[in-house]
Amino acid sequence: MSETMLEVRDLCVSFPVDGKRTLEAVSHVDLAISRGETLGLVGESGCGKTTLGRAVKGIVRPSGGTILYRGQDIARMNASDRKRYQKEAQMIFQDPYSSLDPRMTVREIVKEGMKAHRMGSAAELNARVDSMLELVGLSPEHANRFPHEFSGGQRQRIGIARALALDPAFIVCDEPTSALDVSIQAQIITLLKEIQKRMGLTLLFISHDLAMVKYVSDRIAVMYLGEIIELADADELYDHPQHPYTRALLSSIQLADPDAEARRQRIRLEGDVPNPLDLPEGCRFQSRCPHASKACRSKKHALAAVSPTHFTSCSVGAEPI
Amino acid sequence: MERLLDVRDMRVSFRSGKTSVEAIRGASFHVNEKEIMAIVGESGSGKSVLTQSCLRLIASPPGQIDGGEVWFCGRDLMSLSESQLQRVRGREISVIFQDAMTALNPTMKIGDQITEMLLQHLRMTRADARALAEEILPLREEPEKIAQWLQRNLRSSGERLAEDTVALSGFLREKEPRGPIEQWLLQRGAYTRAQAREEAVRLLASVKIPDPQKRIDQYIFQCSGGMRQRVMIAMALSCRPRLVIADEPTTALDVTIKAEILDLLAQLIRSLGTSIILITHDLGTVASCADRIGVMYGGQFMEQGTSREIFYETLHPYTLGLLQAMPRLDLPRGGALSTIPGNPPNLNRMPSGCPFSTRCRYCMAVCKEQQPPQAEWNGHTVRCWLYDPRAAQQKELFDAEKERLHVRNDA
Repeated sequence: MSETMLEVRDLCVSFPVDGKRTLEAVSHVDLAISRGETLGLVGESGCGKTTLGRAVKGIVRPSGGTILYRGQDIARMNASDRKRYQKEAQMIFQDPYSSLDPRMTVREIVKEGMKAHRMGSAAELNARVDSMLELVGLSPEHANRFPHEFSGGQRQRIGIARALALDPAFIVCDEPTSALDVSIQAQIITLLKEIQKRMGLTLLFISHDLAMVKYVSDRIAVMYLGEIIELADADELYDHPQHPYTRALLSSIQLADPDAEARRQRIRLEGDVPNPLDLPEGCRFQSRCPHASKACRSKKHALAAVSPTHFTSCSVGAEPI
Repeated sequence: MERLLDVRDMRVSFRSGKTSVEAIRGASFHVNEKEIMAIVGESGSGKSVLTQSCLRLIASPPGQIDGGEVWFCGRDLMSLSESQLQRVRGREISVIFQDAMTALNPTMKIGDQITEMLLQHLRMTRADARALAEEILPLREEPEKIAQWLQRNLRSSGERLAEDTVALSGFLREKEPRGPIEQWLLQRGAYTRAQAREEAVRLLASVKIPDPQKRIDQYIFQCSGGMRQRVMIAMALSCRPRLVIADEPTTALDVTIKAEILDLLAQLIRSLGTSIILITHDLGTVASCADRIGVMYGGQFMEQGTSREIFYETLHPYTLGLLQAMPRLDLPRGGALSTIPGNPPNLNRMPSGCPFSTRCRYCMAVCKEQQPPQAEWNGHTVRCWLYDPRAAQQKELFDAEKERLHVRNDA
């Protein structure tokens, strides 16, 4: 087994709401990502996938559980280890329009992190900015321009260059392509995969685009209302989905193929996601689940192994593997 | 097939200071009766500007319609007066916007917004009554036809339909039916607030909003994203328009909700016999429901054809590029995703030839200099130099690439 890059144990993140109530955005999540692996994290908006990503990067403080980076608890690291973790773990944000400071030039944006981590002399940093821009398919001439002069795809490249400049080992990609046009999405994904291969990066790839997630990930975790409900190897998850929610999610993918679409049977989910402040007892998916029984209203299922690499919290109505 | 909407050679530009950019550069398309026509294109391709221009909804200035005709039910919308056009908008052609949160009024209750629409558009004026009476007169005593007419024009149903049919048949037996019919229509067509409210509840129920009686008194911020889009659909369909323009109706929604909303829309459209223009940037969205598809790029249609033609008999390199750039579920992971290099064109710096020439893998010398003519095979149109007889060699390369995509499709 290869080295575990990141491990999350029993992680909870909650936010106070109007003083009294708390919203549990991430609820008792266990995950491990090996070195060089890409873990896909999918779920609908509001399921807590971005919060989980931000907690792992250390941007939000967990309310419970531990996050281990290379075996060390990030909450108990000493100053120098913490600094190393902050440098090695980077993030690429969803919205390339709001994640770049409009008053900074591209050079300043890409250089800022390197300066904070004292990665070299001014001349060295400038040279590194140029080589990073080239790496992501921009040219060094772009360095003195401002973000508004670039298209969405180019801005996302700048965001990637900023992350790569710190020589990271682990990157949280939070829906890096969802704000982009189809033809540009493919460019950015190809770039990310290429760079991952070259630099041996470990990725946590957060997305709601199931086809894209399958394309980039080694393993995939499916989240629903703060919980991981299924976790498996990418091909395995798409070939033998177990959880009723995963099955519905997969069947809702729209294929660019009219004949295949006509042949497909869709699983319809009734209703909307319940209010996360007012979660039902028992299984959180019960209100939309076509297989919900009485037991689901009282008892909650934990993730259980259906094969050595496939875990699910429910497999009612699924074809056996 | 009957054409409901026929847009010919639209040209739209935007002015800023002394410069002007052409956003729509001679776009023609049509929508048949009872058809789902999809317009697919990347951001900046002009798909929204084109459809908004058809209803003269673009802000002017800076926008300016430089030319073109928009034929709808025998009239050129471009030559109508503003007040005439206002009676088409919302009533005969309605629009569903992408973001319901900004398209709907946050300070008005949902029910009030729908009833406002009904009262505004469906109120019967004397002129309306006169025109409608003209339509009824030739029906004479054919209760079947009268009932059909009532369902279509006055939305009569159930007991009401039987009553209305009897009433109208009675008038038609009279010697001078015109006057009494007009009178009756004016009364029958006067929509009271209570009736409009009742209708609003029915509409909300028809888009499968649970508990519509309660929802009608809520505000839009109290609804989830999927629910908001349902309210938008209910409003757009409230006046039983002939044509609905849906501008990225599902883009802001989650995958599970997306498919549901699209199916609901398609089903309602089909049951009402309405046509729809579905604008999207994602070919996957339209594969299951579109009858015909137009692919836009740089303010022009690159290719138009039936859904099957676009997906299986692709003619334009841009369409092929879009299809190849989509990650697929049916293939093993790890293969390279094919990409279209470069960025969508900047309207300020349009190439003088084909707008796609700067990104096209099959680009030839002529592509950079001259705009390609449109070629057509049985309604399947394409704008590309590959279909010039002199480009046979280059076309072979394209065909081979297309073959590869479709072999994968069949596997």
